[in-house]
Amino acid sequence: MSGEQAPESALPKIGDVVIDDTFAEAFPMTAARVIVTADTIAWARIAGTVMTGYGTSVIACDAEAAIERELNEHETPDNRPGVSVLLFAFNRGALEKAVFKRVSQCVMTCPTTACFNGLDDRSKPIRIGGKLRRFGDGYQTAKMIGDRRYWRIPVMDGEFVCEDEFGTAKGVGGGNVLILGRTGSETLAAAERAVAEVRRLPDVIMPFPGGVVRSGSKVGSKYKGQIASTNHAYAPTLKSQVKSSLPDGANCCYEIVMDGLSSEAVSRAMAIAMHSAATEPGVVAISAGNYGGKLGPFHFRLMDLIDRNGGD
Amino acid sequence: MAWILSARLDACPAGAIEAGTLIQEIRAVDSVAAIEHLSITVGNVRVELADLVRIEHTDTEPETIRLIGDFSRWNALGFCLEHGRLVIEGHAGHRTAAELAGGSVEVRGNCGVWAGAAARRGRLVIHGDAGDWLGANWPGEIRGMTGGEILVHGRAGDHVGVRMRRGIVAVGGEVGAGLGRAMIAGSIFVGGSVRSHVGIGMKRGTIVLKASAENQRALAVTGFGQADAFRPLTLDMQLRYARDAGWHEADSLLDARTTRRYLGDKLSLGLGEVFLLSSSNA
Repeated sequence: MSGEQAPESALPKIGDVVIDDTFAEAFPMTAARVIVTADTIAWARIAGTVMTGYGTSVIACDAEAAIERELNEHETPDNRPGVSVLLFAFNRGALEKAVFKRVSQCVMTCPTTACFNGLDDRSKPIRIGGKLRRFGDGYQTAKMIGDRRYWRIPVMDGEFVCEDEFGTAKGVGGGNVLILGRTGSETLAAAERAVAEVRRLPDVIMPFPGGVVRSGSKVGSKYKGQIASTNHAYAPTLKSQVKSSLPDGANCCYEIVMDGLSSEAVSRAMAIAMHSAATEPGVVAISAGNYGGKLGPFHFRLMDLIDRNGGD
Repeated sequence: MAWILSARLDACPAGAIEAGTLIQEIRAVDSVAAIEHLSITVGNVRVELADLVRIEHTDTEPETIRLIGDFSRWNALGFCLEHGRLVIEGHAGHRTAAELAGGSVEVRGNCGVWAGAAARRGRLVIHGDAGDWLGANWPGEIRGMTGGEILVHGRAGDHVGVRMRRGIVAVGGEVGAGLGRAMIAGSIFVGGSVRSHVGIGMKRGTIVLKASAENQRALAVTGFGQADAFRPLTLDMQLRYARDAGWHEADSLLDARTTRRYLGDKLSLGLGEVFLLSSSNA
């Protein structure tokens, strides 16, 4: 993860918070935006929440997923309230499998819901409704509206409507900041504040629980077959046993992982997260996770983001 | 390139004018003189286009050909149009926008029979009335319209949407007999009353009508039975789409909150649906 620490006086700061001279290393991913609507925002939220479950990291999940934002009835294709969900996977094939399974098991099963594509570019689509239609067992029908096809699948409360194809985009996964604080409660409060601010941004999600990661990982392990293991350099209980990256006074670290539809969306989100966390009491330093720059082509240097207060 | 063709009042030849390839021929040349020398069949005589219309070039509307005047004897205007815009400021003849394959055709008057017949893509808007066989199949063809949209603000004749496979037909006013006969799929919306034999032989597809006594009688003679009061999301999505495309008659159907859904034709596949929409709670 981050390299040798410079003397604190030489490091740039936001207020009193030291900004580590390092970078977040991110990866290209394939993304889809799914619009889930329902009769009420409550049911749309439920469907969105369930659909994005077990979608934290592609280390072990089929996709990284989270609710991007809530939508009012003027923002959805069927004029009902809904949520916008972003899902990221390694490639289009993996994404199609993940979205199909999640829509079929988590959205179609949820009362009153419907499911629509949320990306304008459909040049590289994945087929969702077109595969799910078979659940209709021959009673399904399709409707073309403009150049989009919607499947009407009979279910027990009426019909589940699902768009035939969903567009995909080249996204960026793995943007991150590490918030290093004095105590657990102060560090968590800073992380929560950062998450709340990033949630206002379009085109970006934080797929971990509540947007916050406590079990940041490094690549590999002492155990054969274990592809990831605890990021021991940031574990406060190992301070005395390993070469720790925690600066003096830091006893807790939370990571915020951000996936976005573009590198600009990720860098803007990182800047916002960094600045909002730095204004919270008890934060000692802000760092970022990387793998030495050899694995991911996107490098977001924290130094470059210091001047982007407000993300602009 | 964009052109304005104005019908010459002094040129009123007897016989129908066959204009099925006119738009494509105009697009293939690049000067007023070249267009003037295009030949066209009037009855059984070939004449030059300049004998019938005045031609102007315009830069204000790219990819648009505008016909001004009475073109009610000009048949097959916009036939097989693939892109661009054709605006007819007046009446148009038979087979207007038949086999439409893209782009848009707008008629600010009435159309003859077979308007939009066997259309595949694109949009036909008729501000006046349409004749029989609107969006229907050619005689002997298994499929009628296979895509695109036909929006009529006025009335339409008999056999609208016959053997329609895909797409939307919306008629604001009255429609004649045999609406949606042998429909295979697609959607038809009617704001006015319909005559007999609605959806007869219909396999799949959707017909949406107002719940008037006349429309109920028109449905009664065919093999439809009331199924339920379910109103699909896609119905309102299609209506809003048509409204956004300028078919304002959609508003009255969107406002109707009571829905009765009939399934049929039971003598055929029986998966077609006819919706009767009403503002009352009856």
